[in-house]
Amino acid sequence: MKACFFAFAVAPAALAIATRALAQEPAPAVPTPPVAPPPAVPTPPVAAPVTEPAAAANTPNTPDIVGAAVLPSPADSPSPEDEFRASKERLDNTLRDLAGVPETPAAFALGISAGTVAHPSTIREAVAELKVILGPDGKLLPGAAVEVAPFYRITSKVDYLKWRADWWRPLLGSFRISLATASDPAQTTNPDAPVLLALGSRIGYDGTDPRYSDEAVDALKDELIKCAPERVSPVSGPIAVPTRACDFEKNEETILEKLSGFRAELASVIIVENATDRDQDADIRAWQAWLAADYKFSPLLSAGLGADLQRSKINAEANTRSRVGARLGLGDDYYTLSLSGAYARESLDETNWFDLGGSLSAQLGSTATLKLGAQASQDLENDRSRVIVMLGIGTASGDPIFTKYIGGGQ
Amino acid sequence: MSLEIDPNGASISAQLRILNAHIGTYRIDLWNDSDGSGGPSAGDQFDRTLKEYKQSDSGPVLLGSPALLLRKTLQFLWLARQNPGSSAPSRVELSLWQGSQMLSGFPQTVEVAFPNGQHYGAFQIAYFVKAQGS
Repeated sequence: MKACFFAFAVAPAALAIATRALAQEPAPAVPTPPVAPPPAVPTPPVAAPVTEPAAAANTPNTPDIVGAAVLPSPADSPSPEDEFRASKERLDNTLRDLAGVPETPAAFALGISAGTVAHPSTIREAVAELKVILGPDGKLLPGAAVEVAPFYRITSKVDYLKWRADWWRPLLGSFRISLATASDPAQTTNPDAPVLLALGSRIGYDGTDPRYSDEAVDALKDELIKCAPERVSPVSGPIAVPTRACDFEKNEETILEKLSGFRAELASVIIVENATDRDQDADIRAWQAWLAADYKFSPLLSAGLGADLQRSKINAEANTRSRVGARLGLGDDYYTLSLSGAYARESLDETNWFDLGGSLSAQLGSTATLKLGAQASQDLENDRSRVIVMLGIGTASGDPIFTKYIGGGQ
Repeated sequence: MSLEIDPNGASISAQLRILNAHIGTYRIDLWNDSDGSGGPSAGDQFDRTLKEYKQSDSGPVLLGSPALLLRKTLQFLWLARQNPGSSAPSRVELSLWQGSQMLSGFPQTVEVAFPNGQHYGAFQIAYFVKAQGS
């Protein structure tokens, strides 16, 4: 299933439940600064079996300030506005990230769009990217994001049969390290705001990779042959030669959609402030770890489980959030229904939430998407419950155009 | 490019392995040096296909006797596909044997970038077959 969920609000993020293409580098994107102040508390992205480009958030999000409102001290009674904001955030988090893992953890943690992440394919390119991150005085510069797969080349130097036979090759080849920098989102008006450094990692197994299936390999070879030129005058070469007009990508998609299998992914990120500042001590602002697994039964049905653990500072107070959840997804690229359940604990406000929700998304033509989401949340510790409904319209790539929340304690 | 064989030796066999864990298949065509250029050129005329796509992709393929191949062009055409989003080049390893002996200069590993914007493509490399010492 593609495009099941979108980052309709809050931090931009791209999600992959399973290890996606072991990309060395995507087509370079025009670097853009983070659209919204990124959360110092990493907000996990939406769980979806297929990676979607990160949706740029157009809702300002200043987590440390919001955190104080969203997570009041136990002695305070939350106002209706606080309750609404908390309910909205709970629904957004479920819609975006339950049972999922961010595509590029470091970029996600700082709210940087996954589309702007550089993927250098050589050591020289990687060094060049790192030089961009450090200013002339050795201090970090904001707005950079880079991801590398250090073992990709070594593990995939073989043919696909050998790659498949050696279990460690796909696993090690999927390992990625990411690095990103951004100005502290809690100090957007401070020109001397510290630059945060995020270091992330991700490793996974994708049982739906076509190379595991002889049937899929055979079918893909047949599609390639349909694109093969009839005769090509020989030249010494080696060179690429033009292919015949063919529907390779469309037919390939049909083949890949039919693949079923188990997928699992583990990711982590740590956010550090003052990492290279000689005048101040480096300090860990937050860290988060995700574990997610799902099984794709068919093109229309998948089920996933996930857990994440996060520790962060909310207005100088440490907060630990742990969450376990499950999601069932039905549908295809155009219509998707999902049901989810999650249990989360937050240490700072001493809440134990149980969320039960569902969402429905429908493609409107080729350019827009309609999304309905609803979630009932019960605070088991403080005997509170909330129901919130979200109606949203977004672009096909997930950028929100309009969202409306109803309920949630308002 | 050229390769040298013993005109009085054993039969020639070949294998092309598609690396970088890409999915793919290949064909081997034989061309006559019709323009007498002594190398692969647009003036060569097609002779025959020695190996079709998907035929014995995983192991060596017997091409024929030295007499069949001498002073002709051997062309390897391969098709490769990688996972969408990846941008590694297509990388193949070519091996040629005469009998059980690997030909001088082989195995060879060659690399070609996929066409812009595509994660699949067709590629070729060709060798003029000469007699050793000629």
